[in-house]
Amino acid sequence: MGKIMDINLEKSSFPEKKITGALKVGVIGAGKMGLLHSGIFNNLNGSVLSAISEKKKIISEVIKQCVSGIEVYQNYQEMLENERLDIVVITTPVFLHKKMIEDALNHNAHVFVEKPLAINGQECRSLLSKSYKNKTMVGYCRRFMDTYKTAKKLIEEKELGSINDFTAHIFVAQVFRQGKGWFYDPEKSGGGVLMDLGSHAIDMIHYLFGGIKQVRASGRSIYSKEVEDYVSVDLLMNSGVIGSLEVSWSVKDYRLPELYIEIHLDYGKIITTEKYIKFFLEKDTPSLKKGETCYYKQHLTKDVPINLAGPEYTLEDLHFLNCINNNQKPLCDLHEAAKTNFVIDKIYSSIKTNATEEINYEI
Amino acid sequence: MGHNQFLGTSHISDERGIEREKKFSNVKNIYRVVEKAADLGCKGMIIETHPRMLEFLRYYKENETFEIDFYLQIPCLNVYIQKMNEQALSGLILEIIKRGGIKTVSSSLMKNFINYLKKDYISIAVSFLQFELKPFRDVNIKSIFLQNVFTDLLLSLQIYPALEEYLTFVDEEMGIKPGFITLNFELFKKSFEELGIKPPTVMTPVNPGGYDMSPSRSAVEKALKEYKGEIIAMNILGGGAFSLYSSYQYLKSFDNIKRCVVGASSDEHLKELIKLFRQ
Repeated sequence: MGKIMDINLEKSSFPEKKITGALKVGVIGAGKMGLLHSGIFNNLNGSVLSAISEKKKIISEVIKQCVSGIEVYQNYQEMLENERLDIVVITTPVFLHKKMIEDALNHNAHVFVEKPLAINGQECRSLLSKSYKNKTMVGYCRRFMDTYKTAKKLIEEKELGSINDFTAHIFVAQVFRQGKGWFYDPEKSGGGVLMDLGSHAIDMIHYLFGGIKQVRASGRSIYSKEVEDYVSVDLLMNSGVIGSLEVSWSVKDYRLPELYIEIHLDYGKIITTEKYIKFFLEKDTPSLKKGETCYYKQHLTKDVPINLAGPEYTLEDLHFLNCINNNQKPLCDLHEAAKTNFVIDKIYSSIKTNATEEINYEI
Repeated sequence: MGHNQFLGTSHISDERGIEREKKFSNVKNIYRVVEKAADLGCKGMIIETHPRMLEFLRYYKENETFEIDFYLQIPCLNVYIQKMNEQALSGLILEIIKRGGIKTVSSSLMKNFINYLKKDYISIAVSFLQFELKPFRDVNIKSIFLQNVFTDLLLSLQIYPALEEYLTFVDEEMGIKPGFITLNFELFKKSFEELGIKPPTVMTPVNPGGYDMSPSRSAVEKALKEYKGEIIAMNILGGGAFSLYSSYQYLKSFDNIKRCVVGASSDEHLKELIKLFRQ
């Protein structure tokens, strides 16, 4: 831990970093998300980055040169063998997740894995068939965005009444010709836009509205040869609420992904995205005024010790640390995240069969 | 003047972003707003290597009915993310090598590139920087700012040699004033103090809501007041979430902040902004 000890952390108002007893973190995959979690865990009280494993030689060499005080590997199994890691963060292509999760858990580490959990429901069921005492968490980061959290609170408080229906879309301007890389290879990604962006939307639907009973879907490849670029889904929730979802990575004008959810309730509606939450009330309630209220994320922001690409990533890593330290269940563990894979499987089935599919959450 | 609005970005609403995207896809509309801003006394403008900004610069050079300094933000992340999507990492690396002046890329060259990289990643970073700056040779670049994603990642992983090399290269080799953008100002200040380097110019969020002021508004306020380098305030209106007057009052409480970046997409907005700041 030389690089951290080189700096006198006790001076001035710099947050005090407790090295003794800090949980040792190893990251598998040094792409955008791997570096992001490396930087965050390296700056949180209670954790320290110890090792990175990156298969691509060119990247692992750069990391070796740049980041001092950590061990760098090209083989993650070597990293698991040599380092006594408390937390393993997995940020590799989806088809590698299952084996890596199992290997990390078998090395007695707590596991954080980026979304989606696995390539399909079958892999998830296999993962969940064994029980592990260690904590697990899947990186559905929108659960840590304050706009969606506020929407959940409003729904739970029932001041706008019960939900009748909802519409949602998740769009980004990303694919306008055949892309290269594992994202566009269904063997490695498990699918196209539905696995990538759509998984965020389905997780958020679970978070806000509970279990899904049935889906009926259609999908289309526009620019990609092997994966879908557009999916439309009608949903029936276990609660009886009906909803619809559109997913596409080929919609112009959306520089950043937008997950838009519009919820119609007995006495008004709620609209939420990453950037704002608006709600419209037809009448005054004990704590809310009639009319339109809007909160931007800038109003709802919470302090985070370090902000690398948005506070939600720091908040999810902090949540995971707290769950480990206080022996609590993480908000989105393997069981919770597997639900999204089960629903995605049925959406793909529905696209193929052109029929309504029943969701089966059983392990 | 900030530039995000010209690229179809709104920090508070995607609908507003889409409207701006439509308006500013014609660079004449960007030119008109910047010209008005310059007339009203705005001294500089942020730019990056986004294709639309390059088109705007070409249009500016052809017309040049006003003078303005440019503050270049590097690298343009959106461009590289899009390239990664289209070409994967290996394709992106090949393109960077080719753009560095080498026309054909053989497998042996790729191997040499890896060996070279092993020896000296800083040199590669410098070549990359030179490539990023190519389109701006003919315009008045006042300062270069390293994007917050890079600054903050380098700080979080304590990759200090890269910070120092960047400062030296931009200052001594290019003769341009280097700067950084950060969302973690307290960590930034502390890191440069530990390094014993003269505090560099920094662009960082300063707003009454404490938005993007990590680790907390109070900690950043304290660090800002103690900072000996030049500070350019950004995100002062939180993309429109905070009122102009409260933001202005808040900014005024810092004696050592003399400059700020603010976005405007219409004449009315510009007039209102500049009138208040001139008081």
